[in-house]
Amino acid sequence: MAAKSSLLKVILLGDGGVGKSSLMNRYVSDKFDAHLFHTIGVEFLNKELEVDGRRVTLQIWDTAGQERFRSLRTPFYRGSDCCLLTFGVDDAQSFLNLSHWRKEFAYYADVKEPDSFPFIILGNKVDVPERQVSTEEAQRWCYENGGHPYFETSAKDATNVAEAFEEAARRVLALEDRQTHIMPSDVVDLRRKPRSGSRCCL
Amino acid sequence: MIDLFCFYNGSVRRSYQLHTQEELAVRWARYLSHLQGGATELHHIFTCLRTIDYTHIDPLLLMKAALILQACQRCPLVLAGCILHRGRFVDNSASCRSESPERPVKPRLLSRTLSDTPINDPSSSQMLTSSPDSSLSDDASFSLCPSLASTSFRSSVASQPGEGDDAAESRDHAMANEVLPFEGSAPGKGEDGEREQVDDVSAGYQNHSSSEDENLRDDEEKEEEGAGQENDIRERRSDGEEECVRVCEERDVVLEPMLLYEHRVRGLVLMLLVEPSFDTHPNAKQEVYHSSLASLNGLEAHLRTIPPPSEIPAAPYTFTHYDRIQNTLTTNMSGRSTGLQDRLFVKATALLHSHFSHEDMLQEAIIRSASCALYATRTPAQETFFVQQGAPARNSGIPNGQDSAFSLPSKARHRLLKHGVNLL
Repeated sequence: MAAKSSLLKVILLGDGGVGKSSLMNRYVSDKFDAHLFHTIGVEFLNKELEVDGRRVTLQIWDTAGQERFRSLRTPFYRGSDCCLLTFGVDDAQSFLNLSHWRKEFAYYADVKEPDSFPFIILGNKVDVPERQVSTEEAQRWCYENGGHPYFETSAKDATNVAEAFEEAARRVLALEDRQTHIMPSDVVDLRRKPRSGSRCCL
Repeated sequence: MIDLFCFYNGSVRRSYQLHTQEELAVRWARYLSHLQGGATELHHIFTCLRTIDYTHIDPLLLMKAALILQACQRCPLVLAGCILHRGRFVDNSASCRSESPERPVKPRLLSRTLSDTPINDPSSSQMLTSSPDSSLSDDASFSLCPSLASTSFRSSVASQPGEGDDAAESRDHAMANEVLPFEGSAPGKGEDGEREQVDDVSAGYQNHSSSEDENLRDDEEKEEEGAGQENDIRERRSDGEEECVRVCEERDVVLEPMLLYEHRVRGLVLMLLVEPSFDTHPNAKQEVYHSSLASLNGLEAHLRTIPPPSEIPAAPYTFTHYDRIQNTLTTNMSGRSTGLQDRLFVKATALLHSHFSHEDMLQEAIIRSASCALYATRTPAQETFFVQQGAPARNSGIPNGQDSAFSLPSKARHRLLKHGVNLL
């Protein structure tokens, strides 16, 4: 169990312009570029981190949000360990589209049990003063759609970005632990720490 | 050898008009001795050029490649760049030192290739990990002689009044008369032509010829690097450097020092020609690295899913298309082994091309044997040759209405549209 490969694939999905690329760049390179072009297809970066004493490599896949890039991005959903559904708190439509994104992901990633798959919802651009989606609205959606964790982030001023990705890593590890626990095994991992269940940052 | 000669000097006929036989004899001797030396880097240059078959590639991916290069060129120390996938061109671009680095880069759809050749890439076994290595080449400066050779060729053209009306014309000749059957140099020349056009429309060119030379140099550089993907790039480069020094030593040219930045993600390589100060600049390298890393990872992931040419059924037709305006030659012939059919195609094309050049009024022609027919058409702007493979072999004797040769013009129009060739 301890020797198990710890490359975790997380994928950012959401409407065009909500800041998926910026979130990835902020987290991995700690850079912010206000003039990024549309992402074409997919891109990814790796980031090593330690969560609860375990070293993992997050492979963060950034995808094109525009509809016209659909056929380029969907083949890369498969194999994802966690999906970060992203919207802009200054863009109500991007919030309304979250369900669409979740469906698209479940379909193309061929998720066996969509209800237990680890989704995390990110409301990005909290630095923008003109909000169109309130924190309460977003939290309600997360609660009603499977109890997903919700983070309000700003790639621009680095608010909550690392926390969100670390939570993604935790979720994946916790799920893996549960699954290996169910499987018959005569190995006991003495280093594993007890984990609380779901946790919300806000 | 003629290929090599044309690459350095342009058309054979033209060269003999411009230079004495003795001068050219020296060059022939040099090329001969060079070729007799066995397979070299220069050899690879001529074997690696392929025309693009972008009928199997989403054009958006070419745009992605162009955007990566554009992002790299936001750093003013980056002069030119190219992206190769498994030894084939995905895209390249160049900026001029005297120019704004923000100049838009457009994808080169016509003359470069993106096609996969299955190679045993040792790094393929690593699952979904990208190579984080970005390396900067050693400090040795280098330059490439083919472009310098072109420079001197061009200046010698210009120095003879009344004789060399313009260099473009001589290149047209080179392409049309001598180079056409050789896949080696024609696409490269087309590329130059296309790029010149890009340069022409951009403002601020005081010295067009120098920018042109620089562009040429970039091209050669890329071609050289595309040569042997499996070999160690830096090692090959230094070989090439010696080669250049040897070939260029008699020419009175100034070599400009540059560095090569390369970044590899499995079969995908980004190469940039950069100013020497790039290496010592406090954050240029970091900037370029970070601005391209994620996109290169993504592009590689996309390109990996494109099936290798062996799995793509060969098109049931062969064509070549020469665009006089853009100075490009497009064909679907290269990239596969050539057989008897292809040699016949080249022969028939050469024949009809020479008819076209002698008879101004001739616009369309069909030439045929018992087994196949070739359709040729031209306008002042373009010349196109098309042959259908595997046509029924009942075309003998006096042509009749059933003769499949007569359906060729409409077939050609239809088929070539997806190659971006419009025969209207």
